[in-house]
This record gives sequence, structure tokens and C-alpha cells, in this order.
Amino acid sequence: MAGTGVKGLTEAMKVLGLSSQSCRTLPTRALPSITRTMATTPPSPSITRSSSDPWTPLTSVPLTIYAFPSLEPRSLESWSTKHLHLPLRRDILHQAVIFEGDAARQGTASAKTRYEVHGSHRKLYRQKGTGRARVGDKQSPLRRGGGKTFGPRPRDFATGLNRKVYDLAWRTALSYRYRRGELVVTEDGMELPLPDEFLALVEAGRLRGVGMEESTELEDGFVRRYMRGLMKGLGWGAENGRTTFVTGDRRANLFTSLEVAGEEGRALELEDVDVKDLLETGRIVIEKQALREMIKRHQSDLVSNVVVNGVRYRGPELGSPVVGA
Amino acid sequence: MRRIIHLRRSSRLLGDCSCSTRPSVSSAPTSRCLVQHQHQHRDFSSPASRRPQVPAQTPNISRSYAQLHLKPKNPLANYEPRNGQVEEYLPEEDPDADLVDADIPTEIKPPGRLRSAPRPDDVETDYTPALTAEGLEEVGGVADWWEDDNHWSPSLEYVGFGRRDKITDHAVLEALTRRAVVEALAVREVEGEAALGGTWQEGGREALLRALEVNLVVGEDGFVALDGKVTSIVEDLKSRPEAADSEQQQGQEDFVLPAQQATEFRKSWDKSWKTISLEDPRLKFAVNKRVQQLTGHIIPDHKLLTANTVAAYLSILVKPPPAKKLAEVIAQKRELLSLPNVTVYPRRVTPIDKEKMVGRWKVIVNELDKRDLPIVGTGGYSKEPERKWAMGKA
Repeated sequence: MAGTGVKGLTEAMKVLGLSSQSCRTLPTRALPSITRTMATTPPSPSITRSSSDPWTPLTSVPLTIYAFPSLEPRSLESWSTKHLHLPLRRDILHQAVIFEGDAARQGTASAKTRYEVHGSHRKLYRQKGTGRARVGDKQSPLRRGGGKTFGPRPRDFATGLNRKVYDLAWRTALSYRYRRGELVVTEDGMELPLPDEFLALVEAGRLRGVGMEESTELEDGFVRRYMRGLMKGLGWGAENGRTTFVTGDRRANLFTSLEVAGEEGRALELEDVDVKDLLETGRIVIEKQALREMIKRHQSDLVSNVVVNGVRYRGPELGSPVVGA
Repeated sequence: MRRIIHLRRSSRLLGDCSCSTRPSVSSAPTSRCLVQHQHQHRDFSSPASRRPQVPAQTPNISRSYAQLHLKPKNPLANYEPRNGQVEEYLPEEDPDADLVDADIPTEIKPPGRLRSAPRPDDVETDYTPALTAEGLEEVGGVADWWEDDNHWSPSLEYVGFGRRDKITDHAVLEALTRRAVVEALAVREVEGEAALGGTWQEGGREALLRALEVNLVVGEDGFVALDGKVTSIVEDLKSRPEAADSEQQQGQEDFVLPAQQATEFRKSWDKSWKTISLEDPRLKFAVNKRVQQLTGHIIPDHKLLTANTVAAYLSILVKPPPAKKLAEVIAQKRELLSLPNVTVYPRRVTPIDKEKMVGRWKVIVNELDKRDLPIVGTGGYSKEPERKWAMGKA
């Protein structure tokens, strides 16, 4: 009985089923010839490649070295795609930022337990006969002013991240900036050229009045306006999302001026830069040598520790000059 | 120590500084040497010398501000002592007269010496001192001194390598790109590939027209032949120090090609010049650098990666700025605007807008006015309590 039922059902499904041939013969409504561009449509249809064509992936990308602050292109270098043209991996960037944030936590919160709270450990009153609830000492966590049961203790919040993943995050962050045109590499020795006349006035003590020898109001005011004009001219200022400058060591004028005019940007020494810093603000302006050092320190996933025939693979070349010095 | 500022370069260092070759006013910040030679940079290669070293030959380069008033020669000797009276910085008529070093050439106007107002009892007027500070105007202070344009110098404005105001006209951009291509090819032909990385003079009207009149002949194999005054074009690019400061030169550099003239030029050119290959990174660098100088557009490296012909380069350069609002995008595409049943508004259509569309808004305003009710907003009235009761709330 049941077998017959199932058979009947199968036949009925065949007639009604989506795989039925009759569906394909249905006339389709002719679409109007209006071509619409959807946001999700890829811009060019040439994303496929014939299997007979050889696969020649990009191996190097150009990097222009600019003069600062004129932004004159001075030279051109070629960098490996593994350094500056990695695909965006948000997950890896997220891991790196969390890793840094965890490691940066101070972890000094500390609450007193019942054994650390000051006071006598005498029993407050006798066990029986008072009509009140039985109690122990005054430091009991149940009492006001008593210790904290599971309070915060000083500890290290640092989490782990594989070195190769972290290094990949560094280069992914740089690649992300490169691809967006937000990585500006300058010649070595990037420093803010403060006007000579201002420096002369400062040297002459001309910007400090009587009784205001400790006041830097005038100097700061000058630097603030000068910096505002410079950054506006470059298109790097507050209205363009600020700028992070990275140099090998502290450059007095640049760093001091950006401390005064912090709304225009920030300056960091190479040692102080994190992946998170590379992802903040509108653009990264970095010295050539600092970029080279940054990538050199963060390419553990590219270099090999295995020596073959006396040679160890040291990763792709760190920028080779194409034009200029 | 709060801050350290690098003071002026010693004149010994001025000679060998590699300044930008762009001629500009001598006091402009970017015309100065772009690299501070006094600075000792960190040597990344040697791990031992991680800290910056102060060069021994140039003492007193960096000095803490706090040390300035400890100098034996007191620069503040010219100021009158503070005596508890009303004091204010007044602008000097001749600021140079008050400078300690009279040889400081300055166009900015720092505050003059501190002056004291006369005491009320020294002035024979019917002046009565105020007893409370309330309502009195606050004067003095130097916090916003430099925000006043009278104290500032226009020579301190930023001057970059490229034009300050970007050129946006399509025909002009194309003409200037053609000029850049012609000049780069000419330099490569005359002086070789090594000269492509150099800095070139912006040039005036004659140089522009001379470059635009050159005929570019593109062969079957992609070889480009220049038909024109190639050597004079290369000569135009070289810096002439004797003419750099002259007024005439300055006037010539401000010349911008009119859009109409650029359009005529564009019509006269054969389209084959857009097929010129930019595969050579040196040539592409030179063209891009020249375009940046002439138009003010900085094209990031990543976009240049795919620009292997002049046509591809132009498609990157000649592009309207991205729209910031959705309404602007729709207006640019013009697809939705042409539909009869679609209306595009630049902002949200509010209930007031809808009332205005049917001409009812004036009536509403009149009726609300009659009842002395707020036109917009609730005017501090709460919602009707009956609604709350109906919802079963207390």
C-alpha cells in the first residue's frame, strides 16, 4: 500500500517538479534594453582569463619618493607586492589591533580582599543571644567596608599573536594605505622648515614679554597658524582627516609643531608606531629609510631560517631604485 | 624641558643645500632648503647607534626655550619693568626698531614693547574707575596675535611643487598632458634617459605653445618621432638663474592655457598620440612629475600602475571629483532624472515640504498663529496623556 502511495507521489512530483522540461519552454519576457549599472556590478567584465593565457601576477609596484614639504617627486623605487601590495585582510588587522590593545593595557587595577582591608579581625559580637544574625569579623565581604570577593588584581592582559601573523598585519596595513593613495613616502631627513624670521625672533627672545618669560603663547600661536596654512596647502590638515608623520627619530620642529597644532596631525618616531597608528588618520607620511626599516623588521613570514647551500633566503628586495637616487 | 626648536642654519651650510629649483620668493618656507642639514639622522643599519647624535661642529643649534632668558645679554632689557599697572602689548609702528638684532629681516609683525596705561589719578579727566569687572571689555593678550592678517605675512603661505589651484578643465588637462609627453620624449631624445628624473622649469606661454605645436608621429611598432623644435623645448626646461627673479618671468609663469584654445589644439591633433606607450617607468615618472607641476594633480602610485598608455593615463587624470552626496551622484548620471515618474530631491522630503507642495502650509501656519501654538516643534508641550492611559501605562 505504502509503496503504491510513494510511487503515485513521485509521479505527481515529476509532473509538477521544477526539473520538468515544460518550464524551460515557457516564453521569457523580453527585458527592456535599458542598461543599468548596479553598485555591485564589477566595472569591467575582464575578470576572467582563458586557461591558455599564462598567469603573470604582479610582482612589483612603483613607489614615488617625494620631497617634503614641496611634494616634488624626486625618485622612483620598485617594491615587492609582498611588501606593499598585499590583499586587504580585515581579520588580520583586527587581530593585530586587539593584540596591541591588550598588550597596552596597564593592568594595575587592584581591590582589597578581606585579608588586606585594614582593621581588627575580632568577632564583632557573640555568636548567640543577641537576636541578630551571626557575624564574623568586620572585613567580611558581606559587610559595608568589607573586602571585595572577586575584585580586580594586577595582571598582565597581554594576549598572544603569532609573529608571522603580526608581521603580515603590518604589511597589510601599509598595503591598504598604498592602494588608497594614502601612503606618502618622503626623502630621508623629513623636517618642518619653520621660517627663518620666526626662528630669528625666537632666538632674540623677541616673542617673550616681561613677566611672560615662561609663556609660549606667541610662539605657539605663530606655529599654529603656520602649520594650518601648510597643511591646508598640502590638503593634509584637519578638514582632510589629519596626517600621521613617521620619522626615524625625533625631529624637533616637526614634532613640537604638531604637538602645538595637534588638530592638523601627529608625529611619531618609528619605535612608537603600531599597526593601529598606521590605520588611523587620513594618511601616513613616512621617510624612505623609516619605511624600509619598518618592513625589514616585519617580514618574518617572508624570510627563511633554513640555509640551503650556504645561502639563506632573506625575502624580497627592500625597494630597488628605478629613477633617481 | 617642554620644547626644542632648531634655530637658523649657519651660513656655512647655506651654500651646499639642495633647495628646490622652483623660483619663488626668498622668504617663502618651501624655497628654503628642504632638508635640515644640521640634523643627524638615525643610522638604521648599525644597531649600536640607535639614539640621534648631536653634531659636534654646530653648537647651539638646538636650544631649549627655557635657556633663552638665561643668556648674559638680556634681550628683554628694552622692555619697561612691570609695575602692576594696566599693561598691554601695542603694535609698534616700526617693528624693526625694537628688535635686539636689528639685522633680522622680517615681514611679520611681532608685538611691540609692553606699554603701561597711565594711572587714573595722573590723567586730568572725569574718568571714574569701574568698581566691578562685570560688563567691561577685555583687552590685551597675545594668544590670537597671529590670527590677525595685519601681523602675518603672505610670504609664509605654502608654495608646493604643483599648482596651488588644480586645473579641472578637460581640454586643458589633455593639452598639458600632451605637453608633458612631448617634453619628456624630447628630453629622452636629446639628453638620454638619465635626465628624465630632473626638475624642469615651469616655463611661460612661449614654451607651452612651442611644446604643443610639436607633431607626434606614432609608428606601427610604437616608436614615436618628434616633429618640431626639440632642442629649444629642452632648453626651455633648463633653469636660468639670471631670469628667475625677474618680474617678466614671474608674469609668464602664471599663464594658464584658455579652455577654448586647448579645445582647438585638441581638434588639431591626431588621436594616435594617445596610444603612446608609458610602459617605461622612467618616461611615466617624468610625464607624471611634469603633469603634477603643471596641473597640481598628484596621482597616487597605485593608480599609475595600470596607466601604460597616454589614453589610460588621461582616463585617470581627467576625471570629475567624486560626488560627496547621493543626490550629486544621481544628478551626474542623469538616468533617474529622465524618468517621468521619479523626482529627485537633494534632501529628505519632510512633512512640511509635503504640505508646501499642496499649498496647505500657509493655511496651517495661519491657523496655528491664531491659536498661539508653536509652528515647528512641540513648544514644550508634552504628548497627550490619554494616549499613555490607553496604552495601559500609569
